[in-house]
Amino acid sequence: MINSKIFDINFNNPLVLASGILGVHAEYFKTLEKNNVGGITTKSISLDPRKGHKNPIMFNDNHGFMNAVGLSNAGIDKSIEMIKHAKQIVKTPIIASIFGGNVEEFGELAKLISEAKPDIIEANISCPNVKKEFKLFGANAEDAAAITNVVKNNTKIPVVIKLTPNVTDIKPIAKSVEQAGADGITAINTLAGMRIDINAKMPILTNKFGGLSGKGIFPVAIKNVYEIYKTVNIPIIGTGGITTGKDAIEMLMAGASLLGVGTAVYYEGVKVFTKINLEIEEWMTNNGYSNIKEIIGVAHE
Amino acid sequence: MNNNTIKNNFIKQDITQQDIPYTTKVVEVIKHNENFVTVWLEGEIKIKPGQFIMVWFPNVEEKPFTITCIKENKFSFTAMKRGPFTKALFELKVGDLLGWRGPYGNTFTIDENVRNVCIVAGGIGMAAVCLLYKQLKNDNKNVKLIYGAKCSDGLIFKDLINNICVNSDACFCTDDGSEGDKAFTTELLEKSLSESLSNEKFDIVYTCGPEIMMKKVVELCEKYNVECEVSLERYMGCGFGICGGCSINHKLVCIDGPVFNSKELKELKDFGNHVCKCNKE
Repeated sequence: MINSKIFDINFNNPLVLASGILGVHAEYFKTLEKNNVGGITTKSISLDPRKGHKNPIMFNDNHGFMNAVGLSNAGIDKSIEMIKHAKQIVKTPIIASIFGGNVEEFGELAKLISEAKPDIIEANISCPNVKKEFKLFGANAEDAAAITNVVKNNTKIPVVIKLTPNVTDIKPIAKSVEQAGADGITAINTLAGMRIDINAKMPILTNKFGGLSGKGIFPVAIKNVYEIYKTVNIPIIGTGGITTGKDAIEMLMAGASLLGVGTAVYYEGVKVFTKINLEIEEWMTNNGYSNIKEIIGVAHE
Repeated sequence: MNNNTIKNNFIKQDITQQDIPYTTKVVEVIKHNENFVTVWLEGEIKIKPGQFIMVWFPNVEEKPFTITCIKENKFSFTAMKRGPFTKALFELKVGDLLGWRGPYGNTFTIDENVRNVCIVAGGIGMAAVCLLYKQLKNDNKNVKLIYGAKCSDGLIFKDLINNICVNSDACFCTDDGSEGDKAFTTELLEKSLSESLSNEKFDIVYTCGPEIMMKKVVELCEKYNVECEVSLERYMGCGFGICGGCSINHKLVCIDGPVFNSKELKELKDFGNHVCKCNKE
């Protein structure tokens, strides 16, 4: 009932672990699989290993969850080994998230990571926390298309592009990545934000600025996914604040085919995947749906 | 706004929001020697033995620490000099601000039916079992404490231990024999375990210290068929189960631990391979 075939890949359920949450160690993927995750996105991978920002890198209060991890990762070589290992020990589809400093790096990353045979490649062109080092390619349609193009040309694996909500209009960017050959779009990345400790009189995050996620950004995510769905014909991984089965249904109605879940793991732990799946099934049963595909984009009809 | 707030130019934040650093004042800094420092922070804390907090040093970093002592409206954590963060702690002055959030992690198991227990602490690992030792003593358990370090300079918790229990029967040891027995903690543990066979057997052994020591403690406990709980350390980013930085095999030290029992450790094949990156930070 909640299983589906997207990008010609079988998903047991629509809940994909969003990039940046726990997607670091292959063996932990077993724990995620046991907890009914539908797909696992790795933490974003660069050519060289990166230490990322110093702590504090994350915190939460009633205004929302903030992070500026700074794309820490083990680099492409170790990440290839990690994904290969993961493919041996879990059956869940794996989405390899990649990011580079320029078009050529994205091409090289796509070529190299394909060797590990991830099920999908996600090009992260939307991290708000590394502006000093990396151009925000997701901020304009031309850059977004150029990255899409080079990634597609370097792999046969389906490619999704992760977009940022920190733009004036996401529609032309979504259109341009579709035209450049993207198989899908992940939306949204975090919203740029900042918090200051009033006693220390300084920003809390070492990076000063961070990305806001969690329940508070759900309406922003719904609006962006709704607009992208209107603009393109490729599947969308709707991400941003999904915490309950009702949120999941709403995101499907906005037009998402798969659902990214990230900060909900902070709220409720890894058991949140099982909970949301059960709530989706319950809602579908009560409302006469037998196939999740029937719900996708119904808010547009 | 009350007068106190204006005078101190300090805003009391809502302490119930524990996943964002709560800034508070340093009320005392005790430099035990050039390698160990204890920092006392103002305020109340509700924390159980085994749990930890994330301490934010503005402009420096944020690191996990266990609490070593709790008194009226103040509490302390103790650090060994390792890198920039712990070095900076030595420069703190009374009135400086640190932030903290938490507490995080699980706790040591204290079964009310248990009578005879043993704690094996190595070096700064004693910091993770101070509150445990105090609670076990308060609960009137028979506690055997084996506390060792490389040399006498490392036995910084000796006074605190004697404070917790004047008639402490703690066994101190050092690798070089500069204080207490010239022995490893594990040697003293094996002696105690073999003696306890003819006497009253330990119901549980708790341990924290270098991972190679804890591995040996677990092996000894297995040999003598005694339950064991260890407190693990890994590099930590968030402390609440999101960043994945502290994973050990299929578990996370921050939320599945830091305390693991012998049964759980059997499934964690990386246990025993971790070496702290002293002075390499």
